[in-house]
Amino acid sequence: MPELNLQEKGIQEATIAYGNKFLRDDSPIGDLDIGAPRHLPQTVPATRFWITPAVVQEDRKVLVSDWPENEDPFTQLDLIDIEDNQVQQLIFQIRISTSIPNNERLANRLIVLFNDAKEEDSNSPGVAVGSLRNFYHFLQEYTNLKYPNITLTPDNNIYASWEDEQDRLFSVHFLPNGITNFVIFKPNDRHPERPIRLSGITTSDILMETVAPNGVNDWILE
Amino acid sequence: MKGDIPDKDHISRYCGPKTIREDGKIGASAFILRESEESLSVNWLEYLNCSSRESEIAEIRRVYSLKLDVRAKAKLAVLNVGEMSNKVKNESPDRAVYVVSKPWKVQGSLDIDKYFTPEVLV
Repeated sequence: MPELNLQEKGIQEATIAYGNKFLRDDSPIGDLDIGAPRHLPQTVPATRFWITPAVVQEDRKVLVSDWPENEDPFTQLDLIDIEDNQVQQLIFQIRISTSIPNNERLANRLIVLFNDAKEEDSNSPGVAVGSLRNFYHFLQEYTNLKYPNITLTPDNNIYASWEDEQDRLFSVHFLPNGITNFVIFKPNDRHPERPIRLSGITTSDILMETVAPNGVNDWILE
Repeated sequence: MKGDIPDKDHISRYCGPKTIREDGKIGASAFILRESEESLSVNWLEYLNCSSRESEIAEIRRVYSLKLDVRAKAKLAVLNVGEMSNKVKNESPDRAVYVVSKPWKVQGSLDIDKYFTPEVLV
């Protein structure tokens, strides 16, 4: 399985250890995201995660040989590349958004998940672009969130969980279309053997006001 | 539908690295269905007829390695069928989990008896 080498060049260097993969951040110091529109800018700073040439060559040879003759391999590769770029740009946006708490830690975690998903299936976008965009908008909307546990679903969607020592749990599945599935578990003081479970579906922009009556803010906000 | 795996038996689920949390615990996302799936795929440990849980795990790892590119960070979740069903029944009375056997054959294998292992659907 070829390794994906996520790499950025630059001024402000921060690395994370992940096998032989690494990330370098070249975000210009002071490049803030405060007040930025809730969509990606047309031009993203000169930062790219890229696949090492050896990996690219190896992958593409395999892919091309497997395609049926009537399909254009370059088109399919381009689609994968476009999705990869979108994911990488979104992760970069999270990294440089100082309004998002734990922005660097979140970005590093997403890169680890991106690599994990790529190792599992090199043709996947790593993280589902729409789901990541949904998560990014949520992070922009609520800027006092505690750092969540983040994993990916089998469809590579973002799944974020906040839990505390009192057995309270709030988990959100960020779907690619702006929708979120959420579930809340919390103790039932009157009937400890029957914890309270609440679940629902809503858009990410009103998620917090939807769940606020259930006291979720108490354990997921700073 | 009703499950046909005994409550006392155990099932395992392969949890890929992307479903493992930073603290090493298996995330709930490992048990979410793909959009295209109607059920969750797991394996029935007792069917393997091994002498211990360790040997069951070793065998199931061998079987997974024939089917999947098993990663070092991946984990196996092992669940007791009865405990799992009761947990869901108690905490989410509007939901139910059924464990149904559906054997599969490792793709490309010639000797079905050698590679045959049960897969169950939750």
